[in-house]
Amino acid sequence: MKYLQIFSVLFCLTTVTKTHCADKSQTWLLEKSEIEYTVEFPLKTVKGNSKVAKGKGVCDEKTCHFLVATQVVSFKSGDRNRDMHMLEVTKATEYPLVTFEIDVGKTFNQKNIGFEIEFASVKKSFSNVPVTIKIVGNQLKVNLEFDLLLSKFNVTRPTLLGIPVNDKVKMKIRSVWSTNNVAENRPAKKKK
Amino acid sequence: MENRIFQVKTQILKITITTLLVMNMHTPALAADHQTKRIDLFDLGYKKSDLIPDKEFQRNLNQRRFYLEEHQNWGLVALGLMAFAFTNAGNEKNPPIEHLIIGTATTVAYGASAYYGIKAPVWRKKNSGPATGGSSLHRNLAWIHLPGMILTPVLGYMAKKKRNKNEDLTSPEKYHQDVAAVTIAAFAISVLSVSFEF
Repeated sequence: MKYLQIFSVLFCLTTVTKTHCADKSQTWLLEKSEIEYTVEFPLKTVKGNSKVAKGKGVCDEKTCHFLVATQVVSFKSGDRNRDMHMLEVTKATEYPLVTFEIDVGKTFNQKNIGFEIEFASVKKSFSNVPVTIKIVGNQLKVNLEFDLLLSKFNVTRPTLLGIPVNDKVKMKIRSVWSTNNVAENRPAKKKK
Repeated sequence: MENRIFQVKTQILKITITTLLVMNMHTPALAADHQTKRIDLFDLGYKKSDLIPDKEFQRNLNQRRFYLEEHQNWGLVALGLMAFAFTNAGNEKNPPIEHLIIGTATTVAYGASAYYGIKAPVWRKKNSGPATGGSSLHRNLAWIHLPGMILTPVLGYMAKKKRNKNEDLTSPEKYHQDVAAVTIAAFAISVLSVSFEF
């Protein structure tokens, strides 16, 4: 009987400790974002962006795992005809999303990060990409810039006057995250 | 004997309880386990329907590509013929017969280009809204070159009839060349406006 009492006390203690640890884990939700691409021709530079990405991050005691995704169709470049053509070359009907998966240390003091992009059915890893991370209150502001090669994602380069666009596409990501703020990431109810 | 059985039972109970305690210590809490799992697209709010290929959209894009390519090809042919007809007009009082033939061919090529341009489907569901950028200018210029392409041959025909009767050209047929020039200019700008987009 005495043994049972000791067991009960120890069982409760271990359970409470673990629950306390679990509370320490964080959830980050993407509040605001802009994903921009820049395509270059010898005569012209075109920019397109998407502002409707969805994202979430979860952290354990040491690391955080973030996932950001947006629909390829949401990228707008200021010319609808060009945007439709972009959907064609990126096979957006078959692979409608572009996703970014990032693993970072929970301290958020990194100057460079690594991540994976899945786009047009191809998954590629990027490493040592310079990043700016700022923590402001319960918000996290993350900006990063990098280049991707269209050929690596099996994207047929569109042509202008017979000249294809540069293989290198500049990407810029600006994002604002908030922690443990589930309510704000839910879609707002439509007003009647 | 009974005492021996009791001792064995107690030992089994102790082993069981100790095992449970150790398992509890080494099993992560449910909440912690949930937090450390990898996030997937459904966690972000995407539905299964957002991830499956959209066959209707693909069909639409394929059709659109076909019609726009034909629109472009016939448009370039029309522009070439237009320029040829303009330079071939010669003396206004005595245009060669080739001018009439090339002018007719221009109208046919222009009509074919217009047909394919109008027939090209627009995906209203996912990329709605009016045309923007170069394609907007391309569309708006049709308000100049389309009436021009109707008026030019009509005025040319009127001018030819008067010339056959050895009458002087009066308004409006004397503007045949001017209307043709404006039409070619508008059409050329229209072609260029989409040539610098991709």
